[in-house]
Amino acid sequence: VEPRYRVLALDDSELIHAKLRMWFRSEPRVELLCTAKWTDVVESCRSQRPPDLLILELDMPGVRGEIVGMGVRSESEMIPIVIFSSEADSRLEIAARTIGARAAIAKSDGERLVSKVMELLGESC
Amino acid sequence: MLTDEDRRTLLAIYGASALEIASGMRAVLGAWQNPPAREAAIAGLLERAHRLRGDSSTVELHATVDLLHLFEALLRRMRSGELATTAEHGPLLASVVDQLTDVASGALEGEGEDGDACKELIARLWRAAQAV
Repeated sequence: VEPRYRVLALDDSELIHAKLRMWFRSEPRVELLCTAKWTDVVESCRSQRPPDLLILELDMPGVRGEIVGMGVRSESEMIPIVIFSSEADSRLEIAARTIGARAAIAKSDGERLVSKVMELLGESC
Repeated sequence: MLTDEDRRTLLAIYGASALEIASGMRAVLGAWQNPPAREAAIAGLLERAHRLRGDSSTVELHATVDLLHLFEALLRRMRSGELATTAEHGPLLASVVDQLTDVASGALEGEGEDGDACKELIARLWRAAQAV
């Protein structure tokens, strides 16, 4: 199955990148791209082929995820954002409202991530 | 769903990174006996502990997460001035770094954590954090 969707994940942890790749291995419709650099996200959103969905960590060194999310929103209203962070629920909710994220999932509840991403892409798992 | 092989892979990635972080903590802690350098040491330890706690949570090393939570709480009390730093804190903080190093080394071998060792340290940290 050729991937139909490109999902970009921003997180500074190599460990999270590895875990995301393992989770999304079961979903061949998705090409998962992981980066630790927020500038990659901005460049990708400005490119000819922006990601179909962005997975966003809030607690990034040097820049708050909320700022990246607002930057993405200023580039495109269309790209769905899923916050995926270990921050407290209260911050997840506020951040989701601030940047217009479509979902906020705590890392402790990470098993839900793939099904939520597929739902937002209009697909079932 | 993660397989057992996936979990071993994640532990290996964690172990390599955690060893590096623990080594950085040990280097920072080397300045502890010099009181004017403690403020910077606390900041360096807090930054590394926060990152390691996130990674420990990702690989579900729950006792290590609890240990790091309390380690950070103690350091934050020191940073705010609620708790005076003393030379005696040095060996306690070093014991935590030793335990984190053991966990990291074990992870590289695909092993989990020693919950009892973490509990003992948690009790010592708790007593230190409650001191006035």
